[in-house]
Parts: sequence; structure tokens; C-alpha cells
Amino acid sequence: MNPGKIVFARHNSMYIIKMIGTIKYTLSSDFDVFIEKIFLTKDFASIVIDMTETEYIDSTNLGLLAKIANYMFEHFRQKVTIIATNDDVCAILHSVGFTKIFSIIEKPLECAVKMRDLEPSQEDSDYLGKVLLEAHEFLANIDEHNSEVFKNVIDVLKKNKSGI
Amino acid sequence: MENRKILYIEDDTLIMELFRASFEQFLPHITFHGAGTGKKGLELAREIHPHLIMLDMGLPDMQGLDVLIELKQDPLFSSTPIIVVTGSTDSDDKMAALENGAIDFLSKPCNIRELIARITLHLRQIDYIQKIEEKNTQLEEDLEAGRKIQFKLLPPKTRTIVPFDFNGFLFPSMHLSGDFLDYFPIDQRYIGFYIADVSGHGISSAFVTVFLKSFVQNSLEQYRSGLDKDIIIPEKLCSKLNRNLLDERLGKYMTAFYAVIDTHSNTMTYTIAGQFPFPIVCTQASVDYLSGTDVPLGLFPNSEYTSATMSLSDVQTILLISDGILEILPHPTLKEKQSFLLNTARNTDITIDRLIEAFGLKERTSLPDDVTFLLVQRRT
Repeated sequence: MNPGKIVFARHNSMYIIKMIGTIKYTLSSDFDVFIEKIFLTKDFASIVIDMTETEYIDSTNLGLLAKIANYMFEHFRQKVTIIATNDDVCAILHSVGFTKIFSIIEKPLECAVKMRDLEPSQEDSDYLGKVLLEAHEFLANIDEHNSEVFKNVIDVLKKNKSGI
Repeated sequence: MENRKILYIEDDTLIMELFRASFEQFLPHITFHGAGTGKKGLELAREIHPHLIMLDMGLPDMQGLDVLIELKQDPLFSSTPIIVVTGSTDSDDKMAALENGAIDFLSKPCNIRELIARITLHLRQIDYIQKIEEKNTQLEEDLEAGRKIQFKLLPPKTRTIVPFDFNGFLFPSMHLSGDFLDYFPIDQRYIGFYIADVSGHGISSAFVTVFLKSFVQNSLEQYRSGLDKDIIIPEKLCSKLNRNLLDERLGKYMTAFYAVIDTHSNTMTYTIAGQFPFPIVCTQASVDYLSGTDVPLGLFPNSEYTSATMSLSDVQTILLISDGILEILPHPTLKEKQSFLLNTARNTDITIDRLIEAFGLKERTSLPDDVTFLLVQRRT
């Protein structure tokens, strides 16, 4: 089991939260503090959750994803986008009915972006397309050398850290 | 620091008396015992059970290190702090002492001030450890009392509500469980049953199970008083519970399965609110999962819940298992675990005991998450 971590990055007005490995309740209090902080700053317009490297997520952290979804819906009337390519993670998200609450993309981002160009989606097509393009623009340019671009959510607890 | 006993094993009588005098002067509340040889020291230690032992490494009858090892091998002294007193400047000797269970060393000749300061520090630590152990024992007793009460809130392990037999079993991962279940007659016609899994586990989740039971009881009373029918309308009950949980702002949510059996029409109406693995239904011909993907209760303010109705005419068994089972199954993928559960239900003449055996639950000393079974079987 890969001990997990939650990292984030900022791209224009978008937060990309990346969940890596096994996401258990031990990570949840830092994650919760992070979420509360970014809600306070109010200086962003969209959130994308990258779960492509997530192996497992437990109920406590699912609850925090729900918290993010509720906030985005209440303040922006928007759905949060989740990218999840792992079968087990998709099954978990399906089993708790998150497919109705989030825009869940089950293909890797490049495919999803190409798909978006070819066929219009059923719901909120313009918005979802924009979000995907923005996320793709950011993630496609990450390579090993840019790994510092993602900061651990624990860094938010330290004062004066850039990115918040 | 009350009534502490210290034993000093030392053959040099001058040093022994120097230490004794220092203790009497600066730590008068400590009872000081001395022994001049390793053998006498071991005997005295076993007799008086000192709280702290000081051990000279240069003894006439035994190697100091051997005395140390013998003390540490005795379960009586496994947590007794032992301070080694040595005239040697050889750091290997000191390391050997630490490696064999000594917690500190004092060099001879010894600065009295340093001696008293070190001993005081170690005694304070003994106090802290004792306090922690007392608090732990108290907590364990409290938790055990809590567990007994939660157990009383659960339904009897076996209950017949004609024409079905209901069986339930719960394995908490800690003293208290975040899982819950119940089965109960609503009236002559309807039977209700549910399984629920509150997020997280332990005490905070257990509180929410009590809330859940009260909520359902209340709904039952409302029905019996003719005030509302939510108890026999699963999607309405779930909707109401969802709002109640959010209103309480507990920061907790639950996955749940709630079903109502109509014994007149021989049907079952049910809502699956995030409950996973899905319920298993066994008929003569097949064993399959039901499906449904409403969201859990207490997560989203605007959730709408739905229900489905199925005929029970061919149905022999309905089996519900909470998701704790997934964490103990060895299969690498979720799909394989789900197949395994289905096959177990298919092959076994199902009883709770056979299920417990099939999943190896009795052998486990600890569980990562609560595991719950609810078995409904038609009486023949």
C-alpha cells in the first residue's frame, strides 16, 4: 500500500488537488484545514481533483470531497471535476453516487480533452470543456523537473507560503 | 512523588554511604535500599520491588552487565528504570549497558548535584508513566461500558418476523462501532430493516448510530400514531434522515440500506444510499447483487432519494454486508472481492456462522473497519 499524500497546485483561477496513493483519515485533518483556508481566500473559480494516482480513498476523505462539492455548488453553482482512471477508485465513486454530484472523467486527461473537441457533452458543456482545457494545459506541461509545482497541502499550514 | 523505593547495588561502601547520605539530605521522601553484591542485589530487588535501580558495573561476584541482563529478563523489572553507575571511561561499556536495557548511566566519581538531578528526572518520568497507565485503564473501562450499551441497542441476533428469519452480527473494529443494523415489525403488514455505516469509526461514529436508532424509532411512532407514513416509504425516510443529519452538523455521514417488506403483496421496497457492497439476493435460480446509487445520508443538502420495488416470491435469502469486509478480503481488486462475496453466498447454505468462518473473522485479533452482516431468510 502506497502511503498517501495530497498535493495541490494553482493554475490561473483553478486549483488542482492531486491525491496520490492510499488516502486515509490520517491525511484528513490537514486536508480539511487546507480546504477551509482556500474557501476563505475566495480567489479562485474552479477546482479539479486529480485522482489518476489514487489507489484508495476512505469514507472520511470522501466526506471532504463532498464538502468541496457543496461549497462549489453553493458559491459558484458549479460541479467539481474529478479525473479518476483507477477501476477501484471509480467503483468507490460510483457506489456512493458521486457520479451525480461531480463531473467524473474516467479517461486520462489527454483523451478527455480530445473527446471534448469531437463531441459535445450533455450537461454544462462549455464550462466542462473550459475546465478540462485549463487543467490539461497545466498538467501536460508538468514533468519530473517541475515536480515542485505541486505543494503538499500541509504547506498551507505554514504562513506566508506562496500559492495561497 | 510518593513512597518511591530505590535500590543501589554497589560494593564500595564509601560510595554507597555517600549516596545514601545525599538521598537522605536531598530526596528525603525516597526510601533508599543498598546491597553489596550482585546476588544480594537481585534477591533484595525481588523482595522489595524498587521503583528504580542503580547498578554499579564493578561488582565482586558477578559482572555488572550480567546483573543487568538478569534483571531485565525478569518480567518483574521489565519496566523498572535501571541506571548504571560506572567508573569506566570506556564508552563501549556504557553503550553495552544502554543496549542491554539500562536507561541512563552515571560516572564515578559522581557530582552529587548531577546525581540528585538525574534521579529526580527519572522519578518524575515514573510518575508520568503511572498517570498515563491509570488514565488508560479508566478509558478502557469507559469504552467497555459504552460497548455494552451499544450492544443493547442492537436487535437480538436472531429474530423471527413471519414469514422471515432475521439474523444480524456485528464485529466492531474498536470497542464501539460505527456500523449499525436493525430489523423490526412495523405493523401486521410491514417489516422494516436496515444496515448503516457511519463515516469513520470509534466513539464519535457510535454516537451517530444512537441518533439513527432514535430517528427510526421516532418515525415508527409517528406512523403508529397516524401522523406520517415515512417509515414505509424508504425514499422519504432517507430524505428526512439526510436533512436531520445535515441540520445536526455533526460532520458525520452514513451509507445506508433501508427496506420495507410488504407481507401482503410479497414485495420489498428499498433505497440504497451509498451502501456498498450492494445487497445480495438469492433465489432458486440465481444469486445477484441489487443495485442503486443514491448518495449517502448527511452529505449533500439537495439530495433526492429513490426507491425500487421487487417481488419476493422467488427470494429465499437477502444478505447485507458492510464495507469493512472489503478491507479484510485478500483479493487485489474490488471486482474480485465482489465476485468472491457473490460466490460465497452462492455456495453456502447460508448462516451467519458459516459466513464468519468463510471470511476468517473469528481468527482475527483486530479489524481495520467494522464488519456487519444482516441475513434475511424465508422460513420454510
